[in-house]
Amino acid sequence: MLIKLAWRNVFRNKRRTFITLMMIQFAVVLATFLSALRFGIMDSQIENVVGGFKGYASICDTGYVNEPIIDRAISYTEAKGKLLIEKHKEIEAYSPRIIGGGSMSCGDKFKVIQVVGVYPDLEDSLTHLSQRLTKGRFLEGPGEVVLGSALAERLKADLDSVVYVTGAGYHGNSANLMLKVVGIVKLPNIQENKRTCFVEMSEASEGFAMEGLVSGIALSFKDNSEATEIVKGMKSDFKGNEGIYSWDEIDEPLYMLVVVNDAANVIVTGMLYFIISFGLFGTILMMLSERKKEFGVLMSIGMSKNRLGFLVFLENVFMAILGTIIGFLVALPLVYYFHYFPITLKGAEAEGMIKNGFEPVLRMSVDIGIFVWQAAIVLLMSILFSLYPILKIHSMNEHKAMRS
Amino acid sequence: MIAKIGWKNVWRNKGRSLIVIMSVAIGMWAGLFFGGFQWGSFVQKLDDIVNRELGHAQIHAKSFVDEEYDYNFPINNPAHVRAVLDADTSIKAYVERSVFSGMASSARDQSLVLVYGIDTAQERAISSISSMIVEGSMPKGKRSPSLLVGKAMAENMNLKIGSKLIIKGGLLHGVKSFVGKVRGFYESPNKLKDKLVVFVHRSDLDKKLNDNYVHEYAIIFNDFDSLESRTALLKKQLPNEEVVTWGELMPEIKDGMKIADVVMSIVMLIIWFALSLGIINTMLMSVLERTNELGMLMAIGMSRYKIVSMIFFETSVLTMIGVPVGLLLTMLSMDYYGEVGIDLSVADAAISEFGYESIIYPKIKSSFYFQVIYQVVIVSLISTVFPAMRVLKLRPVEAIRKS
Repeated sequence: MLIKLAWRNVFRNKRRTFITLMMIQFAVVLATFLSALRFGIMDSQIENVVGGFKGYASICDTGYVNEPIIDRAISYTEAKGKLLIEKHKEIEAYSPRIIGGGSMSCGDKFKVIQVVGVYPDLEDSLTHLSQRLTKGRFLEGPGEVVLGSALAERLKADLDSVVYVTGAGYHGNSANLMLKVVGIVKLPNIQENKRTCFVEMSEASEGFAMEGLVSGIALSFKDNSEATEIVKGMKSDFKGNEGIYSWDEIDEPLYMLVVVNDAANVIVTGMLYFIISFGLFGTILMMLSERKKEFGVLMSIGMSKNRLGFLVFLENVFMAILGTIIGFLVALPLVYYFHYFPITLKGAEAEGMIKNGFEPVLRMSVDIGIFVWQAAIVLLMSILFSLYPILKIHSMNEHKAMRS
Repeated sequence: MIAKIGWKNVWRNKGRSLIVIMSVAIGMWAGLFFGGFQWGSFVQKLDDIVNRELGHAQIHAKSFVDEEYDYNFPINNPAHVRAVLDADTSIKAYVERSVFSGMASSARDQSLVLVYGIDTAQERAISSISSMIVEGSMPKGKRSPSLLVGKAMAENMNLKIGSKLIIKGGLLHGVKSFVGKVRGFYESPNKLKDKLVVFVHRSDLDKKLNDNYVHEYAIIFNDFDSLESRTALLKKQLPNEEVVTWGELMPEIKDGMKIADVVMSIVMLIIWFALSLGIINTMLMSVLERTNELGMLMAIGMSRYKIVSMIFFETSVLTMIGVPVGLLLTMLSMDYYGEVGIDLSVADAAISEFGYESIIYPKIKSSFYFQVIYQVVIVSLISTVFPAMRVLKLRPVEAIRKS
């Protein structure tokens, strides 16, 4: 009976209900919008740093993370790679790599570099390097090299240039390679773009004396935002000298940036909730003062304060649920719109960012968790405020209320 | 007359007026506090990077940075650079540094290092290396070079105070090397730097390597805000060297701050939107509640224009009271948090575990106060337009009949 009555009350005063619903709805939309924006920026920052080359996770020697030297290698066969993706369905792409240090010379230029030996098709499936080519083509066989565009500039190397690499191979061997430049690729990370070159795996394993060995296997997942969690679950599958590490374990400065940003996020959203709660509380106070007379009448014709309080509580809960649902439905397309048509910075500053390899775009995250969480928090807040009228009604004097 | 009625209306329903006043005050406080939080963390980041490491601007030889701090690219004519810098009155201080990159080997391990030859007395004026020392002391000019090593590098290479370190480097014109003794450890907010950079007194480096090379000038201007134009001026005066601002040296940090700036304005927009919702909501209620009364006023001959201006007057009064309350709230909280700081590790314990600077001291520029006050007033006036439009639509005969 009370539920029916409450439901009817909600629709009796359409004006007040409309305003309250708008308030709750906007609260959900604003909170979701803010979170989606901040999480989206974080995601693209991570993508910018690890997505372009390092990978969201890496399988490597347990000592490699702290001391990335060529001697800390793990064994690799094609069968091992196949087994890996069969066993772990979350993995989208993987690329075994030999990463060696050395120096490269071209004509009279001479630079310190890192040589990355890859299986071209596996590497392309992970980092889509062939789409980042500015000149030439991707690797097809041994004897070829693809240079980072800044490295090519520093070496004054172009397509068909011949370059020499000398480096430190496995267990004290020295590596000497003579390579022909077949492609130039623009890596998103400035530092990597300055010093990275790619060669075919057989070239690297012969040159660095790493037959059957790799420095690590870089991974990406179907859902990269869950990388940290997925890696935690996979840790126990790796034994001996092999381990799996997620990007936050490999790149500590980036992880710190994310953590600090997350903390700032908590503070900012907290403030927004504070303002929103004021608006929500305002509508409740308004409702109470407007309906004082009605409550007085109900009490004097014999409705108990408990029942009345519960009735008003139910009304507010109905409105909270309705408002949250509407807000959820409004926020969803809005955030998706800004995900596919992101806010883009323009002007000279934006051009500077592009030059530095930074995308001047604020893309919103469409992680469904954000929508659910923000809606849930606003719903909880509105339900919490719905408790206030119960207290207020208990302290009401029916005679005074009726006469107001 | 309108003002008098408006004033009386404001105090008729005290609860409602209080809600509008508090909304304005809280909205303003949130805007200011968030701005202060952002500005404070910005200033701290700048302090970490600019004052402790880079300076406002730097001068190198043309290809020095591109060649990854190669020792073989010193500044050609340091005397000329010095003369230009000495003549420039906008410069507060500058230091000369030499940089030697190479391989450091201890008894146990090897590591890539960047040796900074600094003049410890000069350096005090610009960076705060001395305040980052956790053990031992600053390098002094002595017979065997004394080294100040990052704590992180010391742990990796198992170095102790008094350990010997051999540093080899110099690629183009033959290998050069020297031996130094570790005299102290430092710890900076930048872990990568701690693993890479070793400080030594410049005269020691000169003595060992037999060149009086200068690779880097780091400059602090009197006025941080004019550094772009000042740097441009230096560029013209020193066409043979490379003059760069800190932002050009660390584009990723500068760009990150620009993005943060844009995000900040979006967040402010969201806050103003939330505030305006609260005001529209309350004022609309107040107008709708008074339909009857407003209809009566119109029926006895008050013009719509006057009624609308009465509504605007009411909002203005509420805003004028809300603004100082908000200011007071802001000043009180800034007083407290500016002193104590906001500890981010409350939100995530990992921050302090890493020994990262987790406390942010909010700061507000005085111009920001005016900007926010201005915005709050605009927002509340705009928010009144919507309820006022309802008034314009009222038809006196129907309005009076409503109860």
